[in-house]
Amino acid sequence: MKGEKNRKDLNLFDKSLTIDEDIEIAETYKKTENMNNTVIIKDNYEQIVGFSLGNEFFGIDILNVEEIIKPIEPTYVPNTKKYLIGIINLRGKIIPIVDLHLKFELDKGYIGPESRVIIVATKKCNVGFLIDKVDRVYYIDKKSIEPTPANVPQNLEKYIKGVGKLDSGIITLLNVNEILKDNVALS
Amino acid sequence: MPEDIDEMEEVIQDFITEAEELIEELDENLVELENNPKDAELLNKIFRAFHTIKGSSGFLGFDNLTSLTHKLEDVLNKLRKFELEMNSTIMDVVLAGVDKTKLIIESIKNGEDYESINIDENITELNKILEPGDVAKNKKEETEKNTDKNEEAEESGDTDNLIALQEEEIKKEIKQNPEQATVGQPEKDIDAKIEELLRQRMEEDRKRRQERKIQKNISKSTDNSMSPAENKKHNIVEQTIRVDVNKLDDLMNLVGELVLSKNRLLRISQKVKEKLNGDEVSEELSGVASQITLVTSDLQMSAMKTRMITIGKVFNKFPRIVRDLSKKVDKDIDLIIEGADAELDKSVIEEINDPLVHLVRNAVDHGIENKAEREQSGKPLRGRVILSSFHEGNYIVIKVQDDGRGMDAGVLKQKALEKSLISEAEAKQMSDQEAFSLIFKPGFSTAKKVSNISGRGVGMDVVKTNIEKLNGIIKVQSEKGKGSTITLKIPLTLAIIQALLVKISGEFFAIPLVNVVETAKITSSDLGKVENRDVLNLRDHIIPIAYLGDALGIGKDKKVIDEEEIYVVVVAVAEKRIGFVVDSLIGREEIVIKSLGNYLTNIKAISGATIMGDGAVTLILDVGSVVRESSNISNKIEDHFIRYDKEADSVSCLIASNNDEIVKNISSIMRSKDYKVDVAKNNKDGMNAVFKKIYDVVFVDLSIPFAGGYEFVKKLREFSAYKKALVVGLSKDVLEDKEKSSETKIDGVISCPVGEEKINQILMSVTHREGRVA
Repeated sequence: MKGEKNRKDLNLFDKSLTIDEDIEIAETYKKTENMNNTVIIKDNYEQIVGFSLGNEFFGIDILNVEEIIKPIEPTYVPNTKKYLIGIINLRGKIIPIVDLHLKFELDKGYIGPESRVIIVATKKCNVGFLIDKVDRVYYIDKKSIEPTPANVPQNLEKYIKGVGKLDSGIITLLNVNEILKDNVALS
Repeated sequence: MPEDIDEMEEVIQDFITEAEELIEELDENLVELENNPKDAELLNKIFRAFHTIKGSSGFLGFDNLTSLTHKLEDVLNKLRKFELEMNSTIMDVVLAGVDKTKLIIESIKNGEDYESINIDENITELNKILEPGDVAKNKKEETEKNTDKNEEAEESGDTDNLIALQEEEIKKEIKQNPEQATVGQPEKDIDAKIEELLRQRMEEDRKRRQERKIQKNISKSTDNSMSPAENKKHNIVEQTIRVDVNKLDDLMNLVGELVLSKNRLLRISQKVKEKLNGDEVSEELSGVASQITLVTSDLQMSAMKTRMITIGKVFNKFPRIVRDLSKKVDKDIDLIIEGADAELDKSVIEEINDPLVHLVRNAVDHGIENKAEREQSGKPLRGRVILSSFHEGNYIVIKVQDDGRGMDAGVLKQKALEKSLISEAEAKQMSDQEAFSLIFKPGFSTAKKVSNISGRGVGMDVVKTNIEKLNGIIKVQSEKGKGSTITLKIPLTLAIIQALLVKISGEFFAIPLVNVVETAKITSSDLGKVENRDVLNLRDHIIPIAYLGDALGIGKDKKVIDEEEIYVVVVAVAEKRIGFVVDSLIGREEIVIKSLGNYLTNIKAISGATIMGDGAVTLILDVGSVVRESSNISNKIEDHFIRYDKEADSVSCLIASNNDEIVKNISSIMRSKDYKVDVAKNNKDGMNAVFKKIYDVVFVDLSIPFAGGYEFVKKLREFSAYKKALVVGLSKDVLEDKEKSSETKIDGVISCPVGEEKINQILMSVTHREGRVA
């Protein structure tokens, strides 16, 4: 039983993220263990990649994240919606890039030294999300995830899975599949 | 007739492949049926499979296979109508029948004597299922079947043995089916019965032989068939394996990747050569690069060939079509097929079938005149339709040619006018060539009557749509009284293509070379107007012309074209021709088409993307879609001419930076000098800005996203309007950037934040340099 759990851990840590999640997770473990004096059961927790977009804080399920890269100049694609800033070549694969600022109609950000592209993978496709800054991976107790609060703007509501609580505040969990459902082509 | 044998062999090969596939499925389905004996869908499927095999084997003259599958089909027919109920006995018999079918096909495949395989037992068993009581019929069927063998014997001149053979056979038959003999037939009558049967059979045989001779003559006249006796002698041994198409696709994709890497390697080796000219390492590298280029293109060719099928596959069914059609319309027509061995990609073959059927039908129905007309005009009574194909570079050219009445441009225009497909003015402008293209308009038909062959005005539209889908082009040639030729030019494969790279508003785009008719450099004086639309007069041909950026929806307000040097790409898609103005022509390149993925679907005007030698992504234009879009363009070409004459007394500057501090710092200084200030936050915005307006000064943050200021300046200087403008780099590390900036054409580098004095200094120093700033 224990061996199996360790193996699982190894797999989860194998994601080559650019942030030192191991330490963070170890801390989270310790904390929880001290408090409850029990072993964490992974199934009760969601692993979320946290990132910021303007002043807001968002999260994507780690299972949807394939990798995180620095922004490279995309090739503009005509006849597409504004938030699709173009396509890039990622090791021979064509990846469309969505600027989440524009997608969520937040203040138009610009690319700074900390800007990153999160490559998300779903069954349907791989797409890059341009965001301001990647934070780290959080373990969020499934029970602490609440439904979307009422004050969320209507145009965003369908993209949001729920809101998770962190020590430092709240994190808005995004529904990647829903974001990718929209048609990007201009008619 | 060695050609016929080859053809026949191919047909048989196809039959075997198909039959094997069906039988493989049959085994599976039958097993499934045992679990679900009432599944109507399944029963139908099995029935159809037997039916198909029966049909083809009957056509090819594999008689025992035909009768066996015929019986199996009968059983299944009863099962699927639920006149019989599936049980294990029936299943056993059916499966035994399938096994025998396999055996026969196997021996056909190996060129063995398939006819010696005895199917009598299976037939009897199946008959028992079909009609448990009726034995007489059983026997008759049996008799009929066996005649074939005798026929063959007789045909090969073995007449003497015939009676003996038949007698023996009938005896054997009765022995094999003892129950037949006992049911209502006393033993002593057998001999009499044999004699009677024998007589009957001789009669039947004679009739049948006659029939067959007639048939044979017919089939010889269409020279596309041969008697089964002849093909039996021919061994069919071909070494092939069937491969899942997906695997081939994967292989093709990998080869595609390899081609991309090869392009990259070539570029690097070029660079190295430039840097270390004559160096041993550079020589070695370029040697390796060319070796890899060679191997890659061979590999690409081989991989492509695995997906290739001869066009004969499509052509082969035309003799029949033409024969039937010409009978129907009472014309004598010879179909001549040339170049049936040209190969092209499987996916292309699939698309090309329908258009060809329509074109050939048209030639027969509209093209060739009826006999009386032909006689009058002194033409030979037999009309001719020539279907030919040949390779031309990476394309295949298919021609459908007839020696009929040809098309009359005037009549076509008149018809189009009547149906208000074109306007009066358009009709006047139209060349004959363009008038011929009218036949591709939906709803257009010159046939006076709608027949069941053609005349609804749909066929040519199908041709157009399918050819457009394949990125091909159509050319119509016709001479009144002499005939018409319709030429299709289609890329051999859809995965790796030749493309022309062009630049539009600073972006690269690839136009499939098959669609490019020609490129030209013109000046604004070559442009004209028809009904307030831009047209180009190119060697006395008037073609519509538009800025490609407008057709793509990225051209708005961009002033990127030099009036004195306008580059035009004349493209063709299906029957249409149109000229597109581009900023500049880059060159020809071999590109690998990649899909944009599931997220970017149905993007107008873009068919895919490719990766260039330097790793950048370039979009591939969907020429058909672009041409369609271009009819809605309201912008004029002159809207895109670079205007060097500025508004009086106004100076402007562009600050390209994503750093708010820098922008604030410089804009306040420049505003105090009465400059109008625009800001761009990345390369792309920056380029968009400079295309719309010519700035006097451009400040470029050398760390601007995405690719940095040097890239921006490089692009800027490529743009003819900015060859001489003042470009200032903004840097945090002046020392390093000064060094780099000498390579690019930056007029000066300053560190930020900057004071007014420094800016003055830069502006002055440059102004003093003669010729730099006007």
